[in-house]
Amino acid sequence: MLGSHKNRRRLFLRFDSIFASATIEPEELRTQIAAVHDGLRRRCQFKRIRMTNWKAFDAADLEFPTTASDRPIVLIGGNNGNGKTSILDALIAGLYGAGSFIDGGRGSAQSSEVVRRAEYRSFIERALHKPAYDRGERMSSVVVELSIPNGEMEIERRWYFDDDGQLYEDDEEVVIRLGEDRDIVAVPQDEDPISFYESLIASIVAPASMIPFFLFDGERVVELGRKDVREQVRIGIESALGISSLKRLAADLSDYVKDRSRDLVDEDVDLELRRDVTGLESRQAECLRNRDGIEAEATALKQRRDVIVHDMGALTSHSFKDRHETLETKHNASQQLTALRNEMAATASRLLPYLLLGKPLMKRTVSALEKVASSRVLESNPSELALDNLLKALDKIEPKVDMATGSMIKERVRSAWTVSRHASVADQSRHKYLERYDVERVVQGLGQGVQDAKVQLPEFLRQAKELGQIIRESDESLQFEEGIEAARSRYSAVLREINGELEAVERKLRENAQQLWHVENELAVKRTNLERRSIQRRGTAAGLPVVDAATTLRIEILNAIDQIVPEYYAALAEKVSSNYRQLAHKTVIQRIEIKEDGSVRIFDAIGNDISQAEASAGENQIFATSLISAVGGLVGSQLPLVIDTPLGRLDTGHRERVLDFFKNGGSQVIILSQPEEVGGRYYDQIADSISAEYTLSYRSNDGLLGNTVLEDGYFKQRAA
Amino acid sequence: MSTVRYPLQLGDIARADFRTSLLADHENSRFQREWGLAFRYQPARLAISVSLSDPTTPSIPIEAYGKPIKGDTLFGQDESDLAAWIALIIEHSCEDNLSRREFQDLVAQHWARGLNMLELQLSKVENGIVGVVENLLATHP
Repeated sequence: MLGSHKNRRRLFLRFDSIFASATIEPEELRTQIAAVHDGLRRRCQFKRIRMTNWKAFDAADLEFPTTASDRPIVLIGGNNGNGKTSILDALIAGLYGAGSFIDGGRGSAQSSEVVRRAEYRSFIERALHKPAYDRGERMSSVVVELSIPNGEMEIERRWYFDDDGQLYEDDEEVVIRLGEDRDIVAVPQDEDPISFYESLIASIVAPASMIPFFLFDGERVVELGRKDVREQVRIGIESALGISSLKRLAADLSDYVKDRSRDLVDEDVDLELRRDVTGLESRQAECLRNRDGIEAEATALKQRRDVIVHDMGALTSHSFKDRHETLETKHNASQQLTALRNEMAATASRLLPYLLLGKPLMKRTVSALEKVASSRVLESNPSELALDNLLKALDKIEPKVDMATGSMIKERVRSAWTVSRHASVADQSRHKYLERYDVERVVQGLGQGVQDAKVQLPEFLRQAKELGQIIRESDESLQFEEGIEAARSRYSAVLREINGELEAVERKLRENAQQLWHVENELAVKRTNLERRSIQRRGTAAGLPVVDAATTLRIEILNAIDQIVPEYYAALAEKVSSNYRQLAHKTVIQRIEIKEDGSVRIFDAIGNDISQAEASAGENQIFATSLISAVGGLVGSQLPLVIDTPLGRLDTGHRERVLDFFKNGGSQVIILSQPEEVGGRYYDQIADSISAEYTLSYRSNDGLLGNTVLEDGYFKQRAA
Repeated sequence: MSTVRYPLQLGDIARADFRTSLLADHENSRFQREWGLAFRYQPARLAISVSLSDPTTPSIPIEAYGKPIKGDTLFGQDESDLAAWIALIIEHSCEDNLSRREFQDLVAQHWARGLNMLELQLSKVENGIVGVVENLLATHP
């Protein structure tokens, strides 16, 4: 199984671990190889096959009884196009998947593996049941159940398609179950599941290269008899013997020995490895230095960022509401002040003049107006009568004065009267326009004006100052907030800058870490390599323990092959000859020889080589059947045979012989046959050996693509 | 030109137009604007009253006149206010028997002189009417 590894590097590492720890004893090795070889000789039978959306089938479930050894034949009848080949294909694809095209001879023989894998995908895509695809299903599956020496085995393959009906490599799912309980076989760690399953099936059933020898189309099997398929014959024989695996393992070991010896012999490899390690170490150191530098840079930036964040937090944070209230207050105060100014302007222009014109003028005017008012009082009395009354009243005042003094006083009073009368007349003429007007009201108005001015105007000023103060305070508050806002936005700008720098630094840090990771990985690989080489060097005087062990194993394997192959080829030739004699009604052929390259030589009774003589298609088929049966016998007596159209090219005599051969061969034989192929007396010939029979019938779906259904029993004509 | 002398009557004064010199009128408009006053008569009243505080008779040469203000607007709708203003102006003039025309001229002179005085006193005052009132109250207690 080791030989099947595709990953050489992984394979060689496993060889390293095997050969470094184990000692190889040639004798023990021979026993082990023989055991491996014996393990390949096994017996198994098909038990059941289930198909979903597979080729002609929507869903089909076929059971093949496996217990009755006297009834080895399962007969499945179907007209052309009714799905016989679908069953053969399902068995092949279900068992081997892509392996059937790569190793099993189903792909183009001369093509590369890539081409054959593509052919396989295309085959599986075509195998998706068309009506199922049309109704939107995108999965097909085949489940093959086998009875194997130690129990049962179930291989399930599912294929998932996209909407264009395409299949991708990863769209195939394989599950293998073993035993009565159908325990899923776990894929060991580090193993590729497909390779693992391939190896498992090869070891339990048969390798894919055996396909032409047990799962075949009777029409195509003719080709096996031709000489140009000697490679296929050789591979089949070697597969049957497990020699392919051994040869592949020997080849892998040879490569391994070459690879490891070259390594060890070449001193420059060590030198180069050491140089690489030194170089990588200095790159690692540089990366670490860079990382320290960048980290210091990042730390400094983070500290700066933290300080700024802290300072920003310390800024008094006036809420929008506070600011709104301040603005409102200011707005109200401003409005009140505007209203106050207007009122003040009106009041000032009315009252301020009373103060502005000065006290002297005010006093003089008031006095003049009062005189005008009093003169009106005098005018209202008869003047001479008033004077007479006054003079008479003087006489009555005690103590009395003498006559002369009395006359003088009276004269002076009379003069004063006259003077006073003149003045009042003068005043009256200046303010004559007030003749019919209430002068006292004007005087009162002047006094009141002065009074009001002294009270109202200072009050206005006080209010104006108060409002001014409110506005100033609001302004200051708003200005302060604006200051904070400005500081905050300055901080934000710096913060943005720092964050930008930090981001760049962190990016640098990531890049550096990535670089470091690469360097360290590379370094680890190189160091391991170097260490391994030095351990190997120390481990033995020769310095090549693994190489020695691998070489020993390889030689033993090749020796074993050399011993086994001729024995089995001789036995195989004998078996083919015997089978052929049993099958062919012409007994021209006496002896068949098979060489190691797969070439077959046929000799007649007198020892002539008649290999080059023209043989009929039927004869070829008889030869191929002998070969197949013989090769199958190498693997074990009971590898099942599944044959599509087995008798098509055979004449009556050959048919009878071949059917007898199937009946008594000991293997399970599943025959996929046309009605006229195994019918009538041919059917009767094998009837008592049949364990199960089915008929495939096609049901059309209203003119659309229909599907094949399975019915119990073999064609109606048999029943009749 | 009419030589008829009309004696002063309150009603005539109320209806009469009062103007000052064109230059002074411009000043009046400027003060009105700078102090934020709604009406032209407001700076005019302040100017006339300031001029009345100077006992001398104003003699400003007037070549051209500005826009008129009605008497009842300039001195007040209330008759007693109007009468008080006339009394003050006449008392300041010490003239008896002033004609209406002479009174109008006198008002024009006071108005113009008062604006000059205010200009001198308030040229550096700020804060509009509030500053003006504050300043004038301080100097004319």
